[in-house]
Formats: sequence, structure tokens, C-alpha cells
Amino acid sequence: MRTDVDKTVKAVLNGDVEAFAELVRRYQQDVWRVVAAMLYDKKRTEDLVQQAFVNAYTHLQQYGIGRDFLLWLKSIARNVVRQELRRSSREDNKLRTYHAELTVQMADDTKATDRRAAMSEALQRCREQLPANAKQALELRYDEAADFSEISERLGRTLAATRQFLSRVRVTLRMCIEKELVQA
Amino acid sequence: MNRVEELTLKLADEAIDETELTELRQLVVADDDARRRHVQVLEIEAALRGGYAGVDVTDAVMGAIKQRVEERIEEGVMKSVRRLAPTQVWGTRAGGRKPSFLPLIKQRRTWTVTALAACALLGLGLLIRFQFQHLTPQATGQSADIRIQGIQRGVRVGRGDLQIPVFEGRALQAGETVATLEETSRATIVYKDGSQLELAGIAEVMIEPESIGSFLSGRGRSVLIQRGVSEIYVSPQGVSAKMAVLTPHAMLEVVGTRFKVAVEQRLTRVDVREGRVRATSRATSETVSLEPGRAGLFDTRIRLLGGMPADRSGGGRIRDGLLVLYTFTEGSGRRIHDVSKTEPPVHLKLLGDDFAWREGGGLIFPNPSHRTIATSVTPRAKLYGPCVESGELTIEAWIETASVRQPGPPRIFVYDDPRGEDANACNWAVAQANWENFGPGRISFRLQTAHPRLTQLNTETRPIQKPHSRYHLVCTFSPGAGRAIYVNGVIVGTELEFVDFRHSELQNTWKPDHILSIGNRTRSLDRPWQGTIFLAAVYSHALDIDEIRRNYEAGLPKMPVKQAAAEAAQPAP
Repeated sequence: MRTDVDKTVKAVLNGDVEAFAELVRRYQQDVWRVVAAMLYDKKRTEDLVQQAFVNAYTHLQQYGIGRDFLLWLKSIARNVVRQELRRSSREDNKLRTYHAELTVQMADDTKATDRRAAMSEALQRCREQLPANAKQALELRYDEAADFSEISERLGRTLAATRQFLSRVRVTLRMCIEKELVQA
Repeated sequence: MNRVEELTLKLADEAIDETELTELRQLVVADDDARRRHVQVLEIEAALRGGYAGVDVTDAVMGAIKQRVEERIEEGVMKSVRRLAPTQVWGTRAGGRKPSFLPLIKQRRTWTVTALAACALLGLGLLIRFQFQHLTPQATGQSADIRIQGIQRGVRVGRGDLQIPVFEGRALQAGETVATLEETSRATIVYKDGSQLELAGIAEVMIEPESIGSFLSGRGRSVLIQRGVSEIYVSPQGVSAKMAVLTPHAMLEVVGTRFKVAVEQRLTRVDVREGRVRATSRATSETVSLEPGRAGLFDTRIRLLGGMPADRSGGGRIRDGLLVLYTFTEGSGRRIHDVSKTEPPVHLKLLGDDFAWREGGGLIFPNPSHRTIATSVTPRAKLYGPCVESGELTIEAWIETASVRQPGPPRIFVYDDPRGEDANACNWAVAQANWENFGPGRISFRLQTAHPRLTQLNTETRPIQKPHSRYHLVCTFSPGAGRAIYVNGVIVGTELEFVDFRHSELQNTWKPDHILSIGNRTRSLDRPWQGTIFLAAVYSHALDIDEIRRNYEAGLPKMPVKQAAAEAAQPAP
């Protein structure tokens, strides 16, 4: 697979711009995950995913043929997010803290990547098992990127209750994922 | 949830302060387990956020890249142009004067400006035409068969993303959406033949949507109710003028009738008042005919609320499905009357002496260790049958607690076993949660279903903040949504276990020999509740949030004490 990717990279470097579309199609989900892991805002995520690929194209000659293209791409994506957060307003201070913690704690080695893939699958299964209101809360928070006040309005709860409810849902998910992974 | 998990979630929610962040870092550094948990929570958070949204960015990326490539080429050409001798490029003047490509750019700019201006004019023209059409439908020769009237606060009319000016009597056209945006909003959609569709609260309706065409086969009128409560009256006009009402869960076909449709996220409820409604489930394609006084719930299946009177109140407290209602306005004696008017009444008897009546209404249990109870004494079919038939229930109470810190859990309102070995055995029980275990001010709801893992559900917050303040409690259960607890019209507790309630029919697990009691646990009288109860009711279905808020807003029934006394004086059967 790495050879295929390298072939495509070489084609792009030789002037076949269209070949880059193949790389976008192949890796956009992975890049999306990296960017979205740090942001809630879907539109902003989409913009930054695009920006990451455009940056990758611009600096493609810096990619060392034979190395892991996805790893290289992810590092570009992380840089894009970091730059965006640096540029953004003071309101993002806490998001920056979260981002910094995420970067420190979540090393990108192969073992961790495999574990995360398994966890991602378990997460899907566990989400399916949740009661409807918990599913709805997660959808609002993570799929629709709604903020807490909007979620509390939609769920008909107070802000504090909504925060607590979502915390409990996530704890329940964590416990379910743990169980699923042990069984697996 | 341990502290590390709590703080990590706060970090993820961007709600952590500096002190908490320091605490989190110290915990993570000091303890390997804590660090593992911290990383695990972060990973789940990242996975939740990174759930692929299905947005394909390929075209956008390639567009941006091509634009960049073109810019580079252009840049390169310009650089080359600048590097070249002027004569080589333009072949005009000798003498080394810088070439002037400005005319070309100017020419391009002129064309661009002209094209933009033309587009703007065209757009403006279309907009004016559109607005003109919508503001004055008659003037443009369109019939005004449907109009909007009775507009009250926060009403919006739109077509797709476009918002259209709305005013009293404005004609509505196919494909337009009418939305009432606030709890107090009202709007009525009126048809030429007198048929009406009243929207109240937060609701949204589309007039003659395309999606309903095949269902109607080109005949009659149609609306799509996307959410909220709509009261519908269809004028009797014969089959050719039938009305089709589509919701996300059901298709309703009506000829001359009056009915109410409530659309929630998960289900549609139809209450028929007059005439007949032919209703087809969109999930199962099953069709039922609903008669006056019947209600149907449509989600993944059809559930009929058989024999229950449909909601005819049109305001005030909900009466649909009411099984028992106690208002504690007796003022004296040992009998508490069931004033639900649903036959047969289930009156309660006060056993023990540790109680008092409050002037104007209310039964007081004044002592923390009383051995008093208000109880139905014997099992009653009315409490058992309708709930196991519907598979749902609602328990409601207005209370004032004497203390938010009561041991127990102190039982407020129970339907429990008067004789068995297990004093905890109950079909359901509503209590203050034991404050020593769960902290002060929580409410707990225990319900017997077939599911083995179903335990006591506590409120997530502590909604009972103050003693001697009045609170409205509602506990509901339905197979679709599980249990829920509401305090003062707000959800404060919901199911979080992985429970599939579809297989938890009450019929198999409820005991018909249990009895209804207030103020204590029936068998052992050792879970006394200290406080005042002003109202207690049980319904045979799960009230939805609008209905719960309606009951909350209705407050306590303002029944004159004399009338209450007169009613109380009537002999019980």
C-alpha cells in the first residue's frame, strides 16, 4: 500500500495534479478524525481538513518517499489545528488547553492506532445500545456540534442537568467500551 | 464517575478552571491508573468528536489546489513577462519602457464588473418578482385557498431557507412551511371550506408537501406536520376533499373530523375527538381506524389507547388516561377521595394518627418517624389493568418536603406489596432518595419491569433544593423511552442503563395484589416521609413533556374548600 501511495505522490510531483485527488479520497477520513478530535465546530473542521490537504500538496516535496504518508499527513493536520487555535480568539484558551493535553497524552504509535480502531468500533456498538435520549444528546453534541445551552434547550433540561447528563452518558459509554474490548 | 474522569470530561467540555486543571495534572502524574483512565476518556472524546461526518472534501481540496496551481502559473508568467524585454513581449516601443499590460487587466476588470452588475440586476429582479408574488397572491392571479390567521407571537413562514413576510390573512402556497417558535406562539391555517389547523406552542407544518403526493393520489389537501401539537378540524366535504396528514411516523387520512396530532421526535400521537381517522404506520404499513375517544401512538409500531377518553379538556390539567386523582382538600377525617371521575374510584384511608390536614388543601405528615399511611387498603384492578395493557404509566405529585435530608428512602407515593417477605417489593415507588447515600434533594423512582438490571432511578441533579417549598414531581415510563423523572416541568432523571424496554412488558412482572399508599412503605411502615402532599395522580400512559408542563402550569386545582368538602362527603362505593 505504501508503494501505491508513493507512486501517486511521485505522479503528483511530476505534474499530475489530478492524482492528488486519490490521496484526498483515501485519507480524508483519517485527517477528519485528527482535526475533529480537537474541535467541536463541524464547519471549522471541514475548513481545516481542506487546509491540511492543501498544505500537504504545497509541501509534498518534503515528504520522504518510503515513509508513512498518513503519519506525515496527520502531523500536518495537527499543525493546522495548532496554528488555527493560536490565531483564534482568547475564548479558545480552554480549547487550547484541551488540545495541548490531547497532543501530549495521545501518542500516535501503531499500537495506539490499532487500539483506537478497535475502540472506535466498540464505540459505535455502544452508542447503538444507548437509550434514545442519550443517543439524542450525543448526536446533538458530537454530530450537530451544538453547544450546551442549545442542547439543554433541545432536551428541555437545565444547563447543569445537561452537562451532568452528558457526563453520565460518556461514563456509561466508557464502561460499555471497556467491556466490549475485554470481550473482544 | 471518579474524580479523574470528572475532571477530564470538564477539560474536554472546556469547563475546567485553573485549580481543577492543576489537580487533574497532579492526579495523572501521581497515579498510573488515573493516567490510564485520563487517556481513555480523552480517546473516547476524540473518537466521539472525530466520528466521520461523511463530508467529502475532495472537490473542495482539488478546487483550491487547481486555483493555487493557476495562480502559480500566472505568477510565473508575470515574472517571466517582467524578466523579458518589453519589446519581446509587446513588440511595440523600443526604448526599454516598461510594458503596459494594464489595459488588458482593466479590460478584464471592466468585463467582470459588467457581468457582476448584470447578475445583481437579474437577482434583484427575481427577488422583487418573488416577493411580489408572495405578498400579493391575488394580484398575480393565484387563488388564496389557504390562509394564515390568529397569529400570536413568534410565527414564521418560509420556503426552504427563505423566510417570507408573514401577516394576518396572508395566503399560503404549496411547499411553504409555517412554524410557531415559542411556547406561547399560536397560528391557525384556514382552508376555504372552513377546515382549520391550529398550531400551538412550538410546532412546524408544511403545506402540501411533494412527499405526500403519492399517498393522496393527487386528490384532496395535505399537510406535513414536522413537530409539535396541531389541533385539526376538517370540514365534511366528501371523499374528494379528504385531507391527508403526514408525520414522520404516520399517515392520517380524514374526511370530516376533529382530532389532535402531537409529533415528537420518536412518536406521533393522534387523539380523535369527532369523526374517524384512518391511520397508517410508516414503520409497519399497518393501518388502523381511530374512532372518537380513541388515541393512537405511532413509533416503531402502533399502540392504541383503548377505551381511554381522548383529551377533551382543551386547557388545564390533562385528563386523558387519568386513573386516580387525590387533591387532599378534605380538611378532616380519615378518608381521601379519588376525584378523578374515572370509575370506580379508589379512595384512600388514613391508618395511624400522625397526620394533619392543612387549611385550603394538603395532607401533612409532620413527624420524621411516623408510622402513618394513606392507603387503598385492598388491591384495585383500575390501577393494575390499564397500565399493564398500555405498558406505560405516569405518577404525579405536588409536594413540600419537611427536610431534604431524610433517611430511608422515605416513600412519598407507592404501589407496593402489603404482605410479602420483601418490604421493597413494589410495582412502583416514588421517594426522596436516601440523602446519606445520594446527597440531599434527589428524587428516586423504582419500577418493576421484566428487566433484571433495572434498579432505582435517581434524579441526576438535586432538584428539591428547599424544604417547605412546593415542587411538582412526575415520573413516567414507556417502553420506547424508559423511565424519566421531571421536577417542575423539567427532566431531571432519565434511563442510562442499556435496557431494551420493548421486552419489559409490565404485564409479566407487575403484581395485581399490590396496593396504593402515600407517606410510607406499606408492609413495614418503616420508610416514613415527612412533608405535605397537595396532589397525587396516576395515569395509564406516559405523559409527554408538553402534557407534563401543562399539568405543572395548571398548578393545584383551585377547588373551593366547601365544594371539596361536599365532594368528600359523598359516600364511597
